[in-house]
Amino acid sequence: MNDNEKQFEDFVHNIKFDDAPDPAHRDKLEQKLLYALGKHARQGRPIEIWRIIMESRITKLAAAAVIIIAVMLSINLLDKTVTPAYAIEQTLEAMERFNAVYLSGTFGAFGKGFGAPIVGTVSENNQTAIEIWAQVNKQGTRSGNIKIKSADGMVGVADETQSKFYIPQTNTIFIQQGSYIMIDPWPSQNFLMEKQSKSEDWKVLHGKDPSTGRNRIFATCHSTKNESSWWFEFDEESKLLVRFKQWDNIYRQGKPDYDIQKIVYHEELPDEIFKLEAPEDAKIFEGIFPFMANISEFSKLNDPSHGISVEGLNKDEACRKILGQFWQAIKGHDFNLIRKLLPITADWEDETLVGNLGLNDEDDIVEVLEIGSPSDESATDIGPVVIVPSIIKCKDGKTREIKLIIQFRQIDGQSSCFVYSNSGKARELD
Amino acid sequence: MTVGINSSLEMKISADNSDNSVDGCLIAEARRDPTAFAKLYRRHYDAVFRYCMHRLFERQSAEDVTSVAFLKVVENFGRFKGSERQFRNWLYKIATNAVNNHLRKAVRRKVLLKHVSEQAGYDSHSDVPAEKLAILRRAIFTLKPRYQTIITLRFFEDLKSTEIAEVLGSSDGTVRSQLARALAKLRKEITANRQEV
Repeated sequence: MNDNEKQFEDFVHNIKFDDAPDPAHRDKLEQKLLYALGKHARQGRPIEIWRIIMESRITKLAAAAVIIIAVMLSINLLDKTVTPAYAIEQTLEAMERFNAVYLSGTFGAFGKGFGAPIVGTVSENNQTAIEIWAQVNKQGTRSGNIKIKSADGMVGVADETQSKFYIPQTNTIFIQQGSYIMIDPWPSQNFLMEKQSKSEDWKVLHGKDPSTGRNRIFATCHSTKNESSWWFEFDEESKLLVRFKQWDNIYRQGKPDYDIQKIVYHEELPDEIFKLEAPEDAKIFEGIFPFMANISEFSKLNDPSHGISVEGLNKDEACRKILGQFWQAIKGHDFNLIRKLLPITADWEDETLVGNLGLNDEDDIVEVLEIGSPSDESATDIGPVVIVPSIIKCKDGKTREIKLIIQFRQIDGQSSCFVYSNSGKARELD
Repeated sequence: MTVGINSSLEMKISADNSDNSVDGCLIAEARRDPTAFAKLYRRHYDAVFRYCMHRLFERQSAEDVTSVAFLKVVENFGRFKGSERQFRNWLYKIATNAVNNHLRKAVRRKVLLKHVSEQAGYDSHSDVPAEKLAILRRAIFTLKPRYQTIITLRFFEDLKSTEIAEVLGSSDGTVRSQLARALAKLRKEITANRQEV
């Protein structure tokens, strides 16, 4: 302890005030927590689901995108060898040659986010075995066509405008506007460079795959901001990423959320790969995905102080009114107005809003070019919903289309609406 | 308003590290068993409450923020996968966010400062003039929330700089330099306030 610290400690020495906890408050809070715990367990994890809706957690997967060379091995990190310095640019260069990728592994978050609400067979703690085929989009920024298949039989396909899921348990196909599955950013762009530059504690180790004797490069890092950590394995000769894991904590502890055990790169994948496999007699539902339809228990969504009155307006006018205000709030970073219009964010702190709504410098919206007409009307358990596209211009100079779900409701005989969520992720326009 | 025993600010308060192994089992159990979660909560309630109290200096606010923090714990408990020690630091992190969020509301801040001013002279159990406590509170509230956090965790909760770094998601070096800056600012404020008194 230095002099300054000692001096301050002397100052506070013997200052006394009542900081004793009140047992009555402790007991009362305990009851409240146990109730919340029970409710939480019954309802699932709304915030998690929301984050998936907002960001489609599968996109984090993107985080990983790459490679090839099937590797299922145990690693002996102690077997270090002296090798030339590893540069991540070498991997990026190697990956540039490929426009498509196949990966397989296990996903914890996938099971929680997509499998459970749609299929209802994947418990929260289970890991789900998944296979993914993906082709880069035209801009080369993220996946375009993509297909995902889970061990329980669910199949999802998406391009940048529409997603389809086939649920074998109910022999049903669900179709919704917007891309809910993607690898973003595409790894050949800057994902690894970003990982290296933006993550903390980037460390590289050299070792060997004990089963094949091939030289391997291992990299680890974490991001406190994202509360995530990663482990990458590269093949030293090909420079390609051959395996990776991602955890939802910064310590690389517990079961990883993503454990990609096999990565195979392709120059192209045939279009047939991306067709939805489903029996001819499967029932087809278009509109809002069922896991998004049960929302009445979100108390904020029934709170009249959230959303806006649209009394006397038709749906088109109502959508233009609320989206006009919404985009203004987003542009102006008016967090309170955002929370009012997008009530599922009502309890989010500023930092969470910025992180989840992409209110950072690159994605900042500078102009709203067009608010489209509502379409794809369906319903949740509190009223009708429509999907409305908006074309926006961003600070990075790019034009994007984002589709938002507008929820209508009646409270005490008054019509109002709010922004429920986005429908898939924003799409970059040419 | 005072309930319970006056405790000294110099008393080092932290979660009971000697029970870490017990916590470890509890954390695993608490994922499945609400009773175990209640035990875990009881083990850490006092430390979290006192931390909030040392940040806010006002019982009602400290209780409110403690409630908010533990509700966040419930919400995110499934995602916590760290060790026992990390659990304690995770709690401090959540409590810190809750306190800072509370302080960000300008109105609440004004109320707190007003309360602090009103409280001067009411600490009858103090061995020193009550103004000293008021001066300390006022000086701490002039700091940025991050600096307040560092001061409180270091001097009132007895965390090491490496542990504070973990709570704040920062490096040890950064915490040390911010601690030095916070202390310099505090010294300036305390000196100025003393002269006023």
